[in-house]
Amino acid sequence: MARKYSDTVLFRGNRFSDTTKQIKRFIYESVLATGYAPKVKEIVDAFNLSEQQVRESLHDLEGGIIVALQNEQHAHIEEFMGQKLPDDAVLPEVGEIYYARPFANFKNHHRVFVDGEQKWYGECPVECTTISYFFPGKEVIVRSIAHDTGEAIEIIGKDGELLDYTPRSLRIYWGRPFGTWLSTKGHEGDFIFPCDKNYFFSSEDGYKEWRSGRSDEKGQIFTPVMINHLLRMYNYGHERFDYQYHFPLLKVMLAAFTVGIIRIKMFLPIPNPFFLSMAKFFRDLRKYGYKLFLDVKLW
Amino acid sequence: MKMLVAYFSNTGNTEKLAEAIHEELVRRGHAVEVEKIRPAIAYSWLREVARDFPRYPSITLSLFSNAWKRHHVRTYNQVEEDIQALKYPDISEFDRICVGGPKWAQMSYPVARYLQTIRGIRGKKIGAFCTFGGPPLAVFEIELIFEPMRTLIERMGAQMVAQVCVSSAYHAAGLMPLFRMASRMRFKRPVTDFMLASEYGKNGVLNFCDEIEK
Repeated sequence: MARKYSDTVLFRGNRFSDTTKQIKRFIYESVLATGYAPKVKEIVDAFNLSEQQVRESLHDLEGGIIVALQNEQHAHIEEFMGQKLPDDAVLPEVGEIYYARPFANFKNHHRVFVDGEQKWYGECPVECTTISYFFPGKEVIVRSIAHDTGEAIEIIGKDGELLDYTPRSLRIYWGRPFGTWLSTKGHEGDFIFPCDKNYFFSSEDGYKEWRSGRSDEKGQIFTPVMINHLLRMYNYGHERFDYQYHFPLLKVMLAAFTVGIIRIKMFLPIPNPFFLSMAKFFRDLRKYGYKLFLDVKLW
Repeated sequence: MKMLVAYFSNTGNTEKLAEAIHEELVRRGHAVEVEKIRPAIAYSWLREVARDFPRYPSITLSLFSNAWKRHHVRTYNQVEEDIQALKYPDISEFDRICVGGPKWAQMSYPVARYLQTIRGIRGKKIGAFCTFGGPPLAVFEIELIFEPMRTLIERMGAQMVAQVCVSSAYHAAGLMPLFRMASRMRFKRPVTDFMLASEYGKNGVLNFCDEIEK
Protein backbone atom coordinates (compact mmCIF):
# COMPACT_ATOMS: atom_id res chain seq x y z
CA MET A 1 0.00 0.00 0.00
CA ALA A 2 1.28 3.44 -0.85
CA ARG A 3 2.05 5.61 2.10
CA LYS A 4 2.53 9.27 2.66
CA TYR A 5 5.38 10.61 4.65
CA SER A 6 6.17 13.19 7.29
CA ASP A 7 2.85 14.96 7.63
CA THR A 8 2.16 13.65 11.11
CA VAL A 9 5.35 14.59 12.92
CA LEU A 10 4.61 15.23 16.59
CA PHE A 11 8.13 15.80 17.81
CA ARG A 12 11.35 16.51 16.01
CA GLY A 13 14.66 15.65 17.58
CA ASN A 14 17.77 17.06 15.96
CA ARG A 15 17.80 17.36 12.18
CA PHE A 16 20.77 16.56 9.98
CA SER A 17 22.17 19.70 8.39
CA ASP A 18 21.71 20.05 4.62
CA THR A 19 25.45 19.44 4.14
CA THR A 20 25.19 16.24 6.16
CA LYS A 21 22.20 15.15 4.08
CA GLN A 22 24.11 15.89 0.88
CA ILE A 23 27.04 13.85 2.17
CA LYS A 24 24.67 11.04 3.09
CA ARG A 25 23.19 11.18 -0.42
CA PHE A 26 26.70 11.16 -1.92
CA ILE A 27 27.62 8.08 0.11
CA TYR A 28 24.51 6.15 -0.94
CA GLU A 29 24.83 7.18 -4.59
CA SER A 30 28.32 5.72 -4.53
CA VAL A 31 27.15 2.54 -2.80
CA LEU A 32 24.31 2.02 -5.26
CA ALA A 33 26.51 2.71 -8.28
CA THR A 34 29.62 0.76 -7.27
CA GLY A 35 28.71 -1.36 -4.27
CA TYR A 36 31.12 0.56 -2.03
CA ALA A 37 31.02 3.77 -0.01
CA PRO A 38 33.46 6.57 -0.87
CA LYS A 39 36.57 7.23 1.19
CA VAL A 40 36.55 10.27 3.46
CA LYS A 41 39.10 11.95 1.17
CA GLU A 42 36.74 11.53 -1.79
CA ILE A 43 33.93 13.21 0.18
CA VAL A 44 36.28 16.04 1.15
CA ASP A 45 37.21 16.58 -2.51
CA ALA A 46 33.67 16.31 -3.83
CA PHE A 47 32.27 18.87 -1.39
CA ASN A 48 35.26 21.15 -1.12
CA LEU A 49 35.04 20.96 2.68
CA SER A 50 37.72 20.46 5.29
CA GLU A 51 38.23 16.94 6.63
CA GLN A 52 37.08 18.24 10.02
CA GLN A 53 33.73 19.36 8.57
CA VAL A 54 33.21 16.03 6.81
CA ARG A 55 34.12 14.16 10.00
CA GLU A 56 31.53 16.21 11.92
CA SER A 57 28.87 15.22 9.40
CA LEU A 58 29.92 11.57 9.55
CA HIS A 59 29.79 11.77 13.35
CA ASP A 60 26.17 12.96 13.10
CA LEU A 61 25.35 10.24 10.56
CA GLU A 62 26.88 7.69 12.89
CA GLY A 63 24.76 8.95 15.79
CA GLY A 64 21.70 8.81 13.52
CA ILE A 65 22.44 5.06 12.90
CA ILE A 66 22.99 5.76 9.21
CA VAL A 67 26.70 4.91 8.90
CA ALA A 68 29.31 3.27 11.12
CA LEU A 69 32.99 4.13 10.92
CA GLN A 70 35.80 1.62 11.05
CA ASN A 71 37.60 1.37 14.40
CA GLU A 72 40.58 -0.43 15.89
CA GLN A 73 38.48 -3.30 17.24
CA HIS A 74 37.28 -4.25 13.75
CA ALA A 75 40.29 -3.26 11.65
CA HIS A 76 41.75 -6.75 11.43
CA ILE A 77 38.79 -9.12 11.78
CA GLU A 78 38.98 -12.39 9.91
CA GLU A 79 35.44 -13.47 10.65
CA PHE A 80 32.34 -11.43 10.04
CA MET A 81 29.15 -12.44 11.84
CA GLY A 82 30.39 -15.96 12.35
CA GLN A 83 31.63 -16.54 8.79
CA LYS A 84 35.15 -16.27 7.45
CA LEU A 85 35.60 -13.19 5.28
CA PRO A 86 36.21 -13.90 1.56
CA ASP A 87 39.92 -13.98 0.65
CA ASP A 88 39.59 -10.88 -1.52
CA ALA A 89 37.66 -8.88 1.10
CA VAL A 90 39.31 -5.53 1.84
CA LEU A 91 38.33 -4.02 5.16
CA PRO A 92 38.05 -0.22 5.32
CA GLU A 93 40.85 1.59 7.09
CA VAL A 94 40.24 3.07 10.54
CA GLY A 95 38.04 6.16 10.27
CA GLU A 96 36.57 5.16 6.91
CA ILE A 97 32.97 4.08 6.37
CA TYR A 98 32.42 0.50 7.48
CA TYR A 99 28.65 0.35 7.14
CA ALA A 100 26.32 2.57 5.15
CA ARG A 101 23.30 0.86 6.59
CA PRO A 102 21.90 -1.50 5.33
CA PHE A 103 25.02 -2.00 3.18
CA ALA A 104 28.47 -3.12 4.26
CA ASN A 105 31.50 -1.49 2.67
CA PHE A 106 33.39 -4.76 2.13
CA LYS A 107 32.79 -8.21 0.72
CA ASN A 108 31.05 -10.60 3.06
CA HIS A 109 28.61 -13.49 3.00
CA HIS A 110 25.44 -11.33 2.80
CA ARG A 111 25.32 -10.95 -0.98
CA VAL A 112 22.64 -8.72 -2.51
CA PHE A 113 21.32 -9.45 -6.02
CA VAL A 114 19.30 -7.01 -8.12
CA ASP A 115 18.22 -8.02 -11.64
CA GLY A 116 20.77 -10.84 -11.49
CA GLU A 117 23.58 -8.38 -10.75
CA GLN A 118 25.56 -8.67 -7.52
CA LYS A 119 27.83 -5.90 -6.38
CA TRP A 120 26.35 -5.05 -3.00
CA TYR A 121 26.87 -6.63 0.42
CA GLY A 122 24.40 -6.52 3.27
CA GLU A 123 25.32 -5.20 6.66
CA CYS A 124 23.41 -7.63 8.87
CA PRO A 125 20.53 -10.12 8.78
CA VAL A 126 18.19 -7.66 10.50
CA GLU A 127 18.73 -4.82 8.00
CA CYS A 128 18.75 -7.23 5.04
CA THR A 129 15.00 -7.71 5.37
CA THR A 130 14.27 -4.16 4.14
CA ILE A 131 17.27 -3.54 1.90
CA SER A 132 14.94 -3.52 -1.13
CA TYR A 133 13.88 0.04 -0.24
CA PHE A 134 17.03 1.14 -2.03
CA PHE A 135 16.02 -0.44 -5.34
CA PRO A 136 12.46 0.85 -5.90
CA GLY A 137 10.26 -1.36 -8.04
CA LYS A 138 12.87 -4.11 -8.26
CA GLU A 139 12.98 -7.58 -6.79
CA VAL A 140 15.96 -7.80 -4.47
CA ILE A 141 17.43 -11.13 -3.37
CA VAL A 142 19.73 -11.47 -0.38
CA ARG A 143 21.71 -14.72 -0.30
CA SER A 144 23.54 -15.59 2.86
CA ILE A 145 24.53 -18.46 5.13
CA ALA A 146 22.79 -19.92 8.18
CA HIS A 147 24.96 -19.66 11.28
CA ASP A 148 23.96 -23.04 12.71
CA THR A 149 24.11 -25.34 9.65
CA GLY A 150 26.05 -23.35 7.06
CA GLU A 151 23.26 -23.91 4.54
CA ALA A 152 22.34 -21.26 1.98
CA ILE A 153 19.47 -18.96 2.86
CA GLU A 154 17.60 -16.54 0.64
CA ILE A 155 15.41 -13.51 1.31
CA ILE A 156 13.40 -11.90 -1.48
CA GLY A 157 11.95 -8.42 -1.09
CA LYS A 158 10.51 -5.57 -3.09
CA ASP A 159 10.01 -1.94 -2.04
CA GLY A 160 10.86 -2.85 1.54
CA GLU A 161 8.30 -5.65 1.74
CA LEU A 162 9.28 -9.24 2.30
CA LEU A 163 8.04 -11.40 -0.60
CA ASP A 164 9.55 -14.76 0.27
CA TYR A 165 12.35 -16.47 2.14
CA THR A 166 13.95 -19.91 2.28
CA PRO A 167 14.14 -22.08 4.25
CA ARG A 168 10.63 -21.47 5.60
CA SER A 169 11.91 -22.19 9.10
CA LEU A 170 14.41 -19.28 8.82
CA ARG A 171 14.97 -17.23 11.97
CA ILE A 172 16.92 -14.05 12.59
CA TYR A 173 18.92 -13.62 15.75
CA TRP A 174 19.24 -10.02 16.94
CA GLY A 175 22.28 -10.31 19.13
CA ARG A 176 22.51 -7.15 21.18
CA PRO A 177 19.74 -5.27 22.99
CA PHE A 178 19.76 -1.50 22.49
CA GLY A 179 20.93 -0.86 26.01
CA THR A 180 24.25 -2.62 25.35
CA TRP A 181 25.00 -0.93 22.04
CA LEU A 182 27.21 1.90 23.17
CA SER A 183 28.08 1.20 26.75
CA THR A 184 29.58 -2.30 26.63
CA LYS A 185 33.06 -2.25 28.16
CA GLY A 186 35.71 -2.10 25.47
CA HIS A 187 33.17 -0.98 22.85
CA GLU A 188 32.07 2.37 24.24
CA GLY A 189 30.74 4.53 21.42
CA ASP A 190 31.35 1.73 18.90
CA PHE A 191 28.59 1.71 16.26
CA ILE A 192 29.80 -1.46 14.55
CA PHE A 193 29.54 -3.51 17.72
CA PRO A 194 25.68 -3.57 17.87
CA CYS A 195 25.42 -5.75 14.75
CA ASP A 196 28.39 -8.05 15.33
CA LYS A 197 26.30 -10.91 16.64
CA ASN A 198 23.29 -10.82 14.32
CA TYR A 199 22.89 -14.18 12.63
CA PHE A 200 20.60 -16.16 10.39
CA PHE A 201 19.48 -19.51 11.80
CA SER A 202 18.03 -22.23 9.63
CA SER A 203 15.41 -23.07 12.26
CA GLU A 204 14.32 -22.36 15.79
CA ASP A 205 15.63 -25.77 16.86
CA GLY A 206 19.03 -24.94 15.44
CA TYR A 207 18.98 -21.68 17.36
CA LYS A 208 18.02 -23.42 20.61
CA GLU A 209 20.83 -25.89 20.22
CA TRP A 210 23.32 -23.09 19.58
CA ARG A 211 21.98 -21.06 22.47
CA SER A 212 22.10 -23.84 25.05
CA GLY A 213 24.97 -23.25 27.41
CA ARG A 214 25.52 -19.69 26.19
CA SER A 215 24.15 -17.80 29.13
CA ASP A 216 26.12 -14.70 28.20
CA GLU A 217 24.09 -14.20 25.00
CA LYS A 218 21.50 -11.48 25.48
CA GLY A 219 19.90 -11.43 22.04
CA GLN A 220 16.49 -12.58 20.90
CA ILE A 221 15.21 -14.53 17.94
CA PHE A 222 12.57 -13.29 15.51
CA THR A 223 10.92 -14.54 12.35
CA PRO A 224 11.86 -12.69 9.13
CA VAL A 225 8.25 -11.44 8.92
CA MET A 226 8.45 -9.87 12.40
CA ILE A 227 11.75 -8.17 11.66
CA ASN A 228 10.55 -6.95 8.29
CA HIS A 229 7.36 -5.57 9.83
CA LEU A 230 9.30 -3.83 12.58
CA LEU A 231 11.94 -2.33 10.31
CA ARG A 232 9.46 -1.15 7.71
CA MET A 233 8.05 1.16 10.35
CA TYR A 234 11.43 2.76 11.05
CA ASN A 235 13.19 2.36 7.71
CA TYR A 236 10.42 3.55 5.42
CA GLY A 237 11.78 6.27 3.17
CA HIS A 238 15.44 5.47 3.92
CA GLU A 239 16.37 6.34 0.32
CA ARG A 240 14.92 9.87 0.68
CA PHE A 241 17.07 12.98 0.99
CA ASP A 242 15.39 14.12 4.22
CA TYR A 243 15.29 10.70 5.86
CA GLN A 244 16.16 10.16 9.46
CA TYR A 245 14.83 7.49 11.76
CA HIS A 246 11.25 8.00 12.84
CA PHE A 247 9.07 6.48 15.50
CA PRO A 248 5.48 6.11 14.25
CA LEU A 249 3.60 6.01 17.54
CA LEU A 250 0.27 4.47 16.49
CA LYS A 251 1.86 1.97 14.09
CA VAL A 252 4.23 0.78 16.80
CA MET A 253 1.38 0.47 19.30
CA LEU A 254 -0.78 -1.47 16.82
CA ALA A 255 2.09 -3.77 15.86
CA ALA A 256 3.47 -4.14 19.38
CA PHE A 257 2.24 -7.71 19.80
CA THR A 258 2.97 -8.94 16.27
CA VAL A 259 6.58 -7.76 16.22
CA GLY A 260 7.39 -8.78 19.77
CA ILE A 261 7.61 -5.37 21.47
CA ILE A 262 5.03 -6.69 23.91
CA ARG A 263 4.94 -10.39 24.70
CA ILE A 264 2.33 -12.44 26.49
CA LYS A 265 3.63 -14.24 29.55
CA MET A 266 1.34 -15.94 32.07
CA PHE A 267 -1.62 -14.37 30.21
CA LEU A 268 -0.20 -10.92 30.89
CA PRO A 269 1.17 -8.46 28.32
CA ILE A 270 4.80 -7.82 29.29
CA PRO A 271 6.92 -5.22 27.50
CA ASN A 272 9.97 -6.84 25.94
CA PRO A 273 13.09 -5.62 27.81
CA PHE A 274 15.04 -5.96 24.56
CA PHE A 275 13.15 -2.94 23.19
CA LEU A 276 12.64 -1.18 26.51
CA SER A 277 16.39 -0.77 26.72
CA MET A 278 16.12 1.73 23.86
CA ALA A 279 15.73 4.40 26.55
CA LYS A 280 19.22 3.55 27.80
CA PHE A 281 20.54 3.73 24.27
CA PHE A 282 19.16 7.27 23.90
CA ARG A 283 20.84 8.25 27.15
CA ASP A 284 24.11 6.65 26.01
CA LEU A 285 23.98 8.61 22.76
CA ARG A 286 24.21 11.84 24.71
CA LYS A 287 26.80 10.37 27.06
CA TYR A 288 29.14 9.59 24.17
CA GLY A 289 28.68 12.94 22.46
CA TYR A 290 26.08 12.08 19.85
CA LYS A 291 22.83 13.88 19.13
CA LEU A 292 19.46 12.17 18.93
CA PHE A 293 18.26 12.27 15.32
CA LEU A 294 14.71 11.00 15.56
CA ASP A 295 11.22 12.13 14.54
CA VAL A 296 8.24 10.97 16.57
CA LYS A 297 5.23 10.69 14.29
CA LEU A 298 1.58 10.06 15.04
CA TRP A 299 1.58 7.18 12.55
CA MET B 1 22.52 19.47 -24.38
CA LYS B 2 21.09 16.29 -22.89
CA MET B 3 17.92 17.08 -20.97
CA LEU B 4 15.29 15.23 -19.00
CA VAL B 5 11.65 16.27 -18.72
CA ALA B 6 10.14 14.51 -15.68
CA TYR B 7 6.51 15.10 -14.83
CA PHE B 8 3.54 13.81 -12.93
CA SER B 9 0.11 14.42 -14.42
CA ASN B 10 -3.19 13.52 -12.80
CA THR B 11 -5.71 14.73 -15.37
CA GLY B 12 -3.53 15.23 -18.45
CA ASN B 13 -3.05 19.02 -18.14
CA THR B 14 0.53 18.87 -16.84
CA GLU B 15 1.27 16.22 -19.46
CA LYS B 16 0.31 18.72 -22.18
CA LEU B 17 2.63 21.32 -20.64
CA ALA B 18 5.44 18.74 -20.42
CA GLU B 19 4.88 17.82 -24.08
CA ALA B 20 5.01 21.49 -25.10
CA ILE B 21 8.32 21.93 -23.25
CA HIS B 22 9.65 18.69 -24.72
CA GLU B 23 8.71 19.69 -28.27
CA GLU B 24 10.25 23.14 -27.90
CA LEU B 25 13.51 21.77 -26.50
CA VAL B 26 13.73 19.16 -29.26
CA ARG B 27 13.01 21.88 -31.85
CA ARG B 28 16.00 23.75 -30.44
CA GLY B 29 18.21 20.75 -31.09
CA HIS B 30 18.53 19.24 -27.61
CA ALA B 31 18.46 15.52 -26.86
CA VAL B 32 15.48 15.23 -24.57
CA GLU B 33 14.31 12.18 -22.64
CA VAL B 34 10.97 11.97 -20.86
CA GLU B 35 10.20 10.44 -17.48
CA LYS B 36 6.59 10.05 -16.45
CA ILE B 37 6.28 9.91 -12.67
CA ARG B 38 3.60 7.41 -11.71
CA PRO B 39 2.19 6.99 -8.20
CA ALA B 40 2.37 3.47 -6.81
CA ILE B 41 -1.33 3.55 -5.93
CA ALA B 42 -4.16 5.54 -7.50
CA TYR B 43 -6.20 7.06 -4.69
CA SER B 44 -9.91 7.84 -4.90
CA TRP B 45 -10.87 11.41 -5.77
CA LEU B 46 -12.25 12.00 -2.27
CA ARG B 47 -9.15 10.77 -0.47
CA GLU B 48 -6.87 12.74 -2.76
CA VAL B 49 -8.78 15.97 -2.18
CA ALA B 50 -9.31 15.40 1.53
CA ARG B 51 -5.60 15.17 2.21
CA ASP B 52 -5.20 18.83 1.32
CA PHE B 53 -7.98 20.13 3.54
CA PRO B 54 -5.90 20.56 6.72
CA ARG B 55 -3.67 22.99 4.83
CA TYR B 56 -6.42 25.29 3.59
CA PRO B 57 -6.69 27.51 6.71
CA SER B 58 -2.96 28.16 6.72
CA ILE B 59 -2.92 28.84 2.98
CA THR B 60 -5.84 31.26 3.34
CA LEU B 61 -3.98 33.13 6.08
CA SER B 62 -0.93 33.28 3.82
CA LEU B 63 -2.94 35.41 1.39
CA PHE B 64 -3.42 38.12 3.98
CA SER B 65 -0.14 38.09 5.85
CA ASN B 66 3.37 37.98 4.45
CA ALA B 67 4.73 36.96 7.82
CA TRP B 68 2.34 34.01 7.94
CA LYS B 69 3.19 33.07 4.34
CA ARG B 70 6.88 32.90 5.25
CA HIS B 71 6.01 30.84 8.32
CA HIS B 72 3.80 28.53 6.23
CA VAL B 73 6.45 27.95 3.55
CA ARG B 74 9.10 27.36 6.20
CA THR B 75 7.20 25.01 8.45
CA TYR B 76 4.56 23.06 6.56
CA ASN B 77 5.07 19.36 6.13
CA GLN B 78 5.24 18.33 2.52
CA VAL B 79 3.22 15.18 1.93
CA GLU B 80 4.78 12.57 -0.33
CA GLU B 81 3.56 9.31 -1.76
CA ASP B 82 5.26 6.25 -3.17
CA ILE B 83 6.04 6.28 -6.87
CA GLN B 84 6.67 3.47 -9.31
CA ALA B 85 10.16 2.50 -10.40
CA LEU B 86 11.78 5.24 -12.49
CA LYS B 87 13.29 4.89 -15.95
CA TYR B 88 16.07 7.29 -14.92
CA PRO B 89 16.63 6.96 -11.15
CA ASP B 90 20.07 8.52 -11.63
CA ILE B 91 20.01 11.83 -13.50
CA SER B 92 23.73 12.51 -13.44
CA GLU B 93 23.98 11.88 -17.22
CA PHE B 94 21.70 14.86 -17.98
CA ASP B 95 22.83 18.47 -18.30
CA ARG B 96 19.45 19.99 -17.44
CA ILE B 97 16.39 18.61 -15.69
CA CYS B 98 12.82 19.90 -16.01
CA VAL B 99 10.50 18.70 -13.26
CA GLY B 100 6.80 19.41 -13.07
CA GLY B 101 3.42 18.48 -11.73
CA PRO B 102 0.13 19.99 -10.67
CA LYS B 103 -0.13 22.20 -7.61
CA TRP B 104 -2.02 20.39 -4.87
CA ALA B 105 -2.13 23.11 -2.22
CA GLN B 106 1.62 22.46 -2.24
CA MET B 107 3.89 20.32 -4.40
CA SER B 108 1.98 17.30 -5.68
CA TYR B 109 2.93 14.30 -3.59
CA PRO B 110 4.53 12.14 -6.32
CA VAL B 111 6.70 15.09 -7.45
CA ALA B 112 7.83 15.69 -3.87
CA ARG B 113 8.88 12.05 -3.59
CA TYR B 114 10.59 12.16 -6.98
CA LEU B 115 12.73 15.11 -5.93
CA GLN B 116 13.56 13.39 -2.64
CA THR B 117 14.72 10.17 -4.27
CA ILE B 118 16.43 10.89 -7.60
CA ARG B 119 20.17 10.43 -7.53
CA GLY B 120 22.82 12.65 -9.03
CA ILE B 121 20.91 15.91 -8.53
CA ARG B 122 23.75 17.76 -6.79
CA GLY B 123 25.16 20.55 -8.94
CA LYS B 124 22.42 20.26 -11.57
CA LYS B 125 20.39 23.09 -13.09
CA ILE B 126 16.69 22.42 -12.69
CA GLY B 127 13.64 23.97 -14.32
CA ALA B 128 10.28 23.67 -12.58
CA PHE B 129 6.89 23.74 -14.25
CA CYS B 130 3.40 23.34 -12.90
CA THR B 131 -0.29 23.66 -13.59
CA PHE B 132 -2.95 24.97 -11.23
CA GLY B 133 -6.64 25.68 -11.29
CA GLY B 134 -6.76 29.44 -11.03
CA PRO B 135 -5.06 32.39 -12.67
CA PRO B 136 -1.37 33.00 -11.88
CA LEU B 137 -1.94 34.64 -8.50
CA ALA B 138 1.45 35.73 -7.20
CA VAL B 139 1.19 34.22 -3.73
CA PHE B 140 -1.57 31.63 -3.76
CA GLU B 141 -0.54 29.86 -6.93
CA ILE B 142 3.03 30.76 -7.83
CA GLU B 143 4.92 31.29 -4.58
CA LEU B 144 3.23 28.52 -2.66
CA ILE B 145 4.49 25.94 -5.10
CA PHE B 146 7.75 27.32 -6.45
CA GLU B 147 9.19 28.53 -3.15
CA PRO B 148 9.07 25.10 -1.45
CA MET B 149 10.36 23.52 -4.67
CA ARG B 150 13.24 25.98 -4.90
CA THR B 151 14.07 25.48 -1.22
CA LEU B 152 14.18 21.69 -1.55
CA ILE B 153 16.19 21.79 -4.78
CA GLU B 154 18.74 24.19 -3.27
CA ARG B 155 19.00 22.14 -0.07
CA MET B 156 19.92 19.17 -2.23
CA GLY B 157 22.77 21.14 -3.77
CA ALA B 158 21.11 21.90 -7.12
CA GLN B 159 19.92 25.17 -8.59
CA MET B 160 16.47 26.14 -9.86
CA VAL B 161 17.06 28.27 -12.94
CA ALA B 162 13.68 28.43 -14.67
CA GLN B 163 10.00 28.19 -13.89
CA VAL B 164 6.76 28.23 -15.81
CA CYS B 165 3.18 27.78 -14.70
CA VAL B 166 -0.09 27.74 -16.57
CA SER B 167 -3.69 27.36 -15.57
CA SER B 168 -5.50 24.11 -16.18
CA ALA B 169 -8.91 25.65 -15.37
CA TYR B 170 -9.59 22.55 -13.30
CA HIS B 171 -9.84 22.13 -9.55
CA ALA B 172 -10.40 18.72 -8.00
CA ALA B 173 -12.39 20.13 -5.07
CA GLY B 174 -14.66 22.17 -7.35
CA LEU B 175 -13.34 25.63 -6.47
CA MET B 176 -13.24 26.84 -10.08
CA PRO B 177 -16.09 29.39 -9.66
CA LEU B 178 -13.97 31.10 -6.99
CA PHE B 179 -10.92 31.10 -9.25
CA ARG B 180 -12.90 32.47 -12.20
CA MET B 181 -14.10 35.29 -9.99
CA ALA B 182 -10.57 35.92 -8.70
CA SER B 183 -9.28 36.03 -12.27
CA ARG B 184 -11.90 38.60 -13.27
CA MET B 185 -11.24 40.71 -10.18
CA ARG B 186 -7.44 40.54 -10.17
CA PHE B 187 -6.56 40.37 -13.88
CA LYS B 188 -9.80 41.53 -15.56
CA ARG B 189 -9.41 38.49 -17.79
CA PRO B 190 -10.90 34.98 -17.83
CA VAL B 191 -8.91 32.03 -16.52
CA THR B 192 -8.71 30.63 -20.07
CA ASP B 193 -6.33 33.49 -20.91
CA PHE B 194 -3.73 31.79 -18.72
CA MET B 195 -3.97 28.28 -20.14
CA LEU B 196 -1.30 26.57 -22.22
CA ALA B 197 -2.95 27.41 -25.54
CA SER B 198 -3.06 31.13 -24.69
CA GLU B 199 -0.44 33.73 -25.48
CA TYR B 200 0.52 33.64 -21.78
CA GLY B 201 1.11 29.89 -21.91
CA LYS B 202 3.04 29.90 -25.18
CA ASN B 203 5.31 32.74 -24.08
CA GLY B 204 5.79 31.03 -20.74
CA VAL B 205 7.07 27.87 -22.43
CA LEU B 206 9.41 29.86 -24.70
CA ASN B 207 10.83 31.86 -21.79
CA PHE B 208 11.23 28.68 -19.76
CA CYS B 209 13.20 27.03 -22.56
CA ASP B 210 15.33 30.18 -22.96
CA GLU B 211 16.19 30.11 -19.27
CA ILE B 212 16.84 26.40 -18.98
CA GLU B 213 19.24 26.26 -21.93
CA LYS B 214 21.39 29.16 -20.67
